[in-house]
Amino acid sequence: MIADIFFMGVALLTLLGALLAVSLKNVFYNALSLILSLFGVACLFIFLNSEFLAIIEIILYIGAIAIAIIFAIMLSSPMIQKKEEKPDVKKIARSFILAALFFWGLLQTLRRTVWPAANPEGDYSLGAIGKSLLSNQILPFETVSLVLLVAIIGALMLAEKKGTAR
Amino acid sequence: MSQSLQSYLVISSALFAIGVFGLLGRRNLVAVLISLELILNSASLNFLAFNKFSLPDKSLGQVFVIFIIALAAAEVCVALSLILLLYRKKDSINVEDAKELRG
Amino acid sequence: MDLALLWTIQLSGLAAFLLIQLLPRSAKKIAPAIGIALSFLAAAASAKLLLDHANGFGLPVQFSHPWLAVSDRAVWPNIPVERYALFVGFLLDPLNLTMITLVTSISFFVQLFSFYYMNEDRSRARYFGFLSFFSFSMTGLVLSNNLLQTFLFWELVGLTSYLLIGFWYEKESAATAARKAFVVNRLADLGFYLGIILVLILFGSLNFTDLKSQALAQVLPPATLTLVGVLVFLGVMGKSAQFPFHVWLPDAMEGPTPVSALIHSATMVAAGVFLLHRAFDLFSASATTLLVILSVGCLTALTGAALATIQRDMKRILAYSTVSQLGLMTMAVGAGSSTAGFFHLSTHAYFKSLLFLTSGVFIHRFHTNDIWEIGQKGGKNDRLAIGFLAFGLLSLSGLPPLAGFFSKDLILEAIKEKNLFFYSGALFVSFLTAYYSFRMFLVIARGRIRREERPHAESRALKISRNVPLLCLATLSLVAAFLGMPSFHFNFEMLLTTAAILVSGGGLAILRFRDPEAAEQKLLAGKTFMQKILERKFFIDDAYEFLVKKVGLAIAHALNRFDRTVINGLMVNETSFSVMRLGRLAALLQNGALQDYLAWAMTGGVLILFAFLHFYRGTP
Repeated sequence: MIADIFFMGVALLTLLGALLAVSLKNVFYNALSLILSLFGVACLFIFLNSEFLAIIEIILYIGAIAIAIIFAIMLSSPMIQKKEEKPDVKKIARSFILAALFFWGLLQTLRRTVWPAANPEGDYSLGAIGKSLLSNQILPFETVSLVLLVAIIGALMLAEKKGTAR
Repeated sequence: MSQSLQSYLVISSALFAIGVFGLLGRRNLVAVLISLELILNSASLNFLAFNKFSLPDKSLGQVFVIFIIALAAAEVCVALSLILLLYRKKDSINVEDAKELRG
Repeated sequence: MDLALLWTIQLSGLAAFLLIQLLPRSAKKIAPAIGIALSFLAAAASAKLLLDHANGFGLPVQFSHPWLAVSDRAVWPNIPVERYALFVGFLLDPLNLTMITLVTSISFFVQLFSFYYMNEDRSRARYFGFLSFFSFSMTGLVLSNNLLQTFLFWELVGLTSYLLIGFWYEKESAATAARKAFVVNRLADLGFYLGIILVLILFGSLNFTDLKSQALAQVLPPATLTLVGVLVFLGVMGKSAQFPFHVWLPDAMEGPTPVSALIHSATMVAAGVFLLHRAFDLFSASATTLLVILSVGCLTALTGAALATIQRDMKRILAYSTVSQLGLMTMAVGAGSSTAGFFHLSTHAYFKSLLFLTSGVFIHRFHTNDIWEIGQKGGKNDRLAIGFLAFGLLSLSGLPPLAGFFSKDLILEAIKEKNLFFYSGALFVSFLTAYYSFRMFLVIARGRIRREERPHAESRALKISRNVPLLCLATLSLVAAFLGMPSFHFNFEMLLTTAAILVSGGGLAILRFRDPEAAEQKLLAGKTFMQKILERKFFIDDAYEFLVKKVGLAIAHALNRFDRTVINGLMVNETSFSVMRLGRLAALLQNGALQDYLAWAMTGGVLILFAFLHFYRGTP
């Protein structure tokens, strides 16, 4: 019972964070709302028995990705808006309609389908994840490490200033 | 509302829709990136929901979400470099100022 | 032995042509000798053949070889031959024995005469080469044993005629005349070719020995028989200058006179009549075809004779006379007696070539073609030439016992039996023939001599080369009739008719031209309506020009405009322009705005999602 209330609260928090993330004018506030939303998602992960992933979410997503985003915001946009820009109504309307359609479509889909059921109890442990990573899922594991390498190199190359020694 | 597969899926659908709205509607490039993160998160939520309620092998879904997070990190890394590059060139990160690849 | 002779006759002309072409420039002087020698060889060979096979002894001689099997099955149901094949070969039978002798002998005489006539010409070698090539083509035509081979040589003869008419190609009028001859011939040959194709497809064989009247009638329905006959006759019309394809023959006089003697009076134009005789069964199978032939021949004869009466140019008179005589020959065939037509062909060949060569003598000596000028420059002083002229003209008019009388007599008889209307036409033609013949003679022989031209001294060789052919031809004009005449029965009525025509025609001419000078004055003073029409050649040439220039060009211009606007402009250009416009429209989509692209993509995604929702109600 309590769990359900908590659950609803967390869900609302997440959604609220998300809404704020896309609607606030000041982009710094967007980033902060994103952090809120991500925190909510992490709590939801805990509800889904994946504690390890919740921690990872907080460390990586909030602690690294969101911070990086804030870095970029600091480096690129002025904190105080110099001029007030008129909101482009057509664009907002268009995106709102599309988003609403998507939402409605997805709802319909999940309402109609009968999902296969399985036992919610099982081995959620980190050990199991590790075993899986190094035996069944070894290929994507290695590939992801390669992708990370490429991304880092790419980012470095892109961000170089002209004239600096390579 | 009780925790059931349906509820999680509804939440994730809502997150997705909000993310799409931000993706298409925001002018600031970083804000667009933020919306993209929301979409990715909704996908992770989806995976874990199914992991709990429909998958017998409980490590599979989690492994997948690990990959999603890792890839999101890599992608944000590159995207932010690009944004900084664009800012250096144009002194603005308005999406509408970057229209040079037109046909 | 016979085959060897035939090959000799056939190839001697080709050999002469090739030899002359291969001569180095320094040795070009001996070209006439080569031409004359080899044509003599051919003439001798045919004389031997004639002697061997007189009275049809040992004929026919045939050499035939299939070279292309066209089909193994019959295309039409009741065709007698199972296998269609194209043949190549010789056929010598009583029909073309006479013809081959005629062709080779006249070729030889003309080559000999050309030595005198073309003595001062720079391109003598080319001339003799072409003349020999013509002999090759003509003998090929005469000796062929099937229609297709005849057609091949038919075209070769046309080519040679073009080359020889336009021999002095620097002269604009000569080049134009050569082109005109070739084009008119080619046009008529279209009909010939279509006829050949029809015969091959529907009848199965093109060999003359197979084309017999009964066999044809068995296989082909009457309408087709008429069609085939008329188509092949179209070819004959072109080659033998029948109306309205006669327009090329008078202009062909631009060529050297010996060429006119050989080609345009005796042999090439006779090829059409020869074909009529050769494949007579093809034409006689349908009475309609014969009627067409008769009518066309009559029209030709009248046109030619009428136009000959007002010409000033000596060669033109003879050219129109040839047209008229060819018309008479055609009429004979149309009246059912191809024998009479062929007989007249042979006699006409001799006296017409005699006339042309004689006119060549006059032209060469007085450097003009105009009969009045020749008369004024002393035409009557060249007694030998005048004598030959008289001889030839009298034969043409039909004075007995010259050859022309017998052959024309035979024709008139044949026509009289058939149809009195055409008979009266033929009589009128004979009247006009006498008239213009006497006119020509009188103007040349009785002109008051204004300026005398002394002949320059000629070498012995030249004199021989000039006089021997004339003498031989004159003799043959007298004698040939008795040698080759099909049948003669003394017909008093015909004799009387002929005499009457001669007297009336000649008399009229004498009346008007007994003082040529006065006649000329009268002519120049005022022209009657009839004269005007005649001078414009019944406006036929103008009609052709109108058809080609106005009608033909107008059609061409219209088609050009259609092509440019509709086909090029509408179909080609518009298609490409509209594609480009479409492309430019589509390019508007790419405006560089990231979120627009995303919006389009998302729209697509939404649509797909909704489509799935619509089509899958319940669990997929």
